[in-house]
Amino acid sequence: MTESPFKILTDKPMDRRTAIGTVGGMLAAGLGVLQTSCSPMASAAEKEKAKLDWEAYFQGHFQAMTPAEKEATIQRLERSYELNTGNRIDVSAQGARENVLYGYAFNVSKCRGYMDCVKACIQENNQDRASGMAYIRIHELEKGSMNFEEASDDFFHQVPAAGHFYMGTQCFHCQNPPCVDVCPVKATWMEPDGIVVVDYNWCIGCRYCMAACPYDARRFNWADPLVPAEEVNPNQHYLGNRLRKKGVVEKCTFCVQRSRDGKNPACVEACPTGARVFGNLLDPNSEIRWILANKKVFRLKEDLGTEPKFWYYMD
Amino acid sequence: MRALVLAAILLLAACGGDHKPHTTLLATLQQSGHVEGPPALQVDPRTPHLTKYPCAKCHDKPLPVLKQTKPAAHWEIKLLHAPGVITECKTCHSETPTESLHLLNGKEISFDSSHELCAQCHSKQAADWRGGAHGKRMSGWAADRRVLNCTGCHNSHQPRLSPRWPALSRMQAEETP
Repeated sequence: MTESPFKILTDKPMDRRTAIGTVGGMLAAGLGVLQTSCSPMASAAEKEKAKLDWEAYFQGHFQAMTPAEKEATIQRLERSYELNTGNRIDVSAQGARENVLYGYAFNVSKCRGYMDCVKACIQENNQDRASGMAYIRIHELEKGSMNFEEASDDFFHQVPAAGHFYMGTQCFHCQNPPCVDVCPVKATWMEPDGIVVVDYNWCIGCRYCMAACPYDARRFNWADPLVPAEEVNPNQHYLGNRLRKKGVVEKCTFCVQRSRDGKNPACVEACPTGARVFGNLLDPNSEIRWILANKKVFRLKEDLGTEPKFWYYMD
Repeated sequence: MRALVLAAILLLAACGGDHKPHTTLLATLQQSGHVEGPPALQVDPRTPHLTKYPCAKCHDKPLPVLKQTKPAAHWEIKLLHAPGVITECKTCHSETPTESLHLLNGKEISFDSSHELCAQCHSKQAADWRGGAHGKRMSGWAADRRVLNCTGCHNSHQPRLSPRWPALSRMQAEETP
């Protein structure tokens, strides 16, 4: 972000109405920032904060950024957080590995409803504590049926309950994701390794994606997310668990900050029963491929053609 | 190279093109690569976790002598494993040497290889465990396949897992205002 933000006005052909609109928008948003940055009373830290806010306002789309711009963006996020809280975070923009397509398998026979995965996911992904947001739902279903309307996902009793079984749902990272198709601003897309991600800076909060998702996988921040400072996971990814703001949509990212590092997502690591399996679908010798080849697998709402990369199986 | 072609096919299949024939993800995957099965498991050793090990700490005399000794040992172990089939210690434990278990054919094995013993009856679970569909994984997806063996999760004397409370309550959780 070394270029002048006003460059977009001079570089791009633009009609009069758009130009006035753009300048007006800039002025409205920049007024407060400018006030701080020009005020002789403001401290150096406040001025730096204002400068970073100003730059963030003109941040481009993540996919259109050059590597240098990505680097500058994550540095700004780190510095901003440090100025605001005094704590450090480490934000990554690591890209997809080659020849990797992530897939997930869930053993319905093994899940016992412990919800260790839900807890680990909330902590790993810095999810809002105030609203009790959780990407994962564990549904308690009566044996002999698979009716989610009659399932409970807010059970709290000793588990497994007699006569019941458990099924977890989360973002299935569909290979044909309807949520991506409907986004009017292209703030959500599928990465080359198959992870469906959101650029929280680009999301306008229209929630079309939430309406389009047949699996109720996306979550909306109705208020500024609350994560106690001592509970913030500092190992973050731009497209993953970095701190969100009010009015944006978020979802499971297969823990992009972990999976691109070769680790398993937090839910897989936390599950004590081994009911959760994660791996590379393009590696014919991976465990996930063994399961697809040797187990009776199924996916939810397969007839919709969304091609979830998340399979269920039984012993 | 093959994987690249496959990736390209997958991307094409996924681009949401309105008029292209839709190749299913699963079918496409099944055409890919040479399947040799997952590489061999690296089983986390059990002996470092055993509290009464090595056995020779106490088993320094013949068993009939030890049985007369006070205080009694192993009294807390209740055998609730295939009642009627496994009824005594020596089905799995060796008297001499005490440091090992034995298979039904008499072959001595270490406590670290106890999964071989379990696999004699639980062959289906063992096959799932080797393939990747059973058991706790200790390494990431891209690393070697480090796993716990059967006794890493199951108490061999009472293998059924007990019920417990969930890690958190979602009862108060409410997302919309």
